[in-house]
Amino acid sequence: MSDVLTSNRKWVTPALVAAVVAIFLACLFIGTHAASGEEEAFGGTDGAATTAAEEAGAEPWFKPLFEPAGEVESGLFAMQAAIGSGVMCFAIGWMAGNRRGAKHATTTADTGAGPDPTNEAGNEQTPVD
Amino acid sequence: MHIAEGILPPIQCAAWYAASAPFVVHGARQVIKEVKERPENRLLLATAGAFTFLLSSIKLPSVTGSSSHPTGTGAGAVIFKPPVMAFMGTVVLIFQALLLAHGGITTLGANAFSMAIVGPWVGYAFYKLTMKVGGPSWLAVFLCMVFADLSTYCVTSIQLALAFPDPSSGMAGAAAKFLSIFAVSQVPLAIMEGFLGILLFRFLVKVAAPQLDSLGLDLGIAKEHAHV
Repeated sequence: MSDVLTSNRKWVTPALVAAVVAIFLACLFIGTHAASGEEEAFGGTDGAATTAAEEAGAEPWFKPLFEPAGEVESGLFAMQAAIGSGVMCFAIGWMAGNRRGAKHATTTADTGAGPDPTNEAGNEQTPVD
Repeated sequence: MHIAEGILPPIQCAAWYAASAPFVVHGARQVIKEVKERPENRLLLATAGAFTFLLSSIKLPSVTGSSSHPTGTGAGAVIFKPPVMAFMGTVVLIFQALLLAHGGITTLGANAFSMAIVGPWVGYAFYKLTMKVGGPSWLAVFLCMVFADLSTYCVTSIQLALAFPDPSSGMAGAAAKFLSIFAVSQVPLAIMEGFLGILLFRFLVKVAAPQLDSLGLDLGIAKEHAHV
């Protein structure tokens, strides 16, 4: 039983990536239509919620300590994404390397005189009791 | 979703801080405990936190013509259980509030409650439920990510409705109003997040099988183990 999570078929990961891209493009396409009347297409929902809250009586009583300008804000978000993906890719890469090293060590041990730690399905020659 | 700085009345800010604090403190203790007891899981912990850090920074366009952020908290909730995400999610929120004016320090308690506490718990519940009824692990992960995301925004809508009830239709009406801003927009993002979660787990199952195993996760990795 091969699960999507563990499947080794080559097409699974690209298919998942393609699904994400497809949804993204669909949103872009449909959204452009939906937003064709607005001044700024794809305004954030966070901002829309703040506006709605202010209309309902919110009076901001505290300002953010640091408010970056528009372009700087994009840059900082990009940095956040970069740090996040950097850490993630480093961690996954490191763990993959560890795995590889462990596998390599196991196979070398196999060809050596050591006991087989990965006794496959018991169809190896095991000593009779 | 992040409620912007200074939007919630001071008393409610304090109330949400009080509500979130125990969870975040507990979460911090869990993180320290995890790092102490199982140092081999540090990289996995970093991955879970970084995933949230990454996803919550990206603004994605949606079908309604607006854009929003995914949350990414589901993954960490599944691997390390929700309390850990209470702490890590709050760290992300602090970063965004201080450096990006996204969310706020006054609204940190409220935002932590929605994104770092309720989101992960709801996602975790969906994960456990799906696994319990014998569903495939990819579906469990998918639903976890989707509903962690959606529930975060639902809670935010309720928080805003509690603060600003509609004069005629009361809190329910206000909640419906705020939900209407988020609900449809968030669905495609949540689905994207679901697929990204599956992708992440595909990698983790391959490279972190022993760690996931030691954490008691059974994502079909037992089979992988046997075929090493």
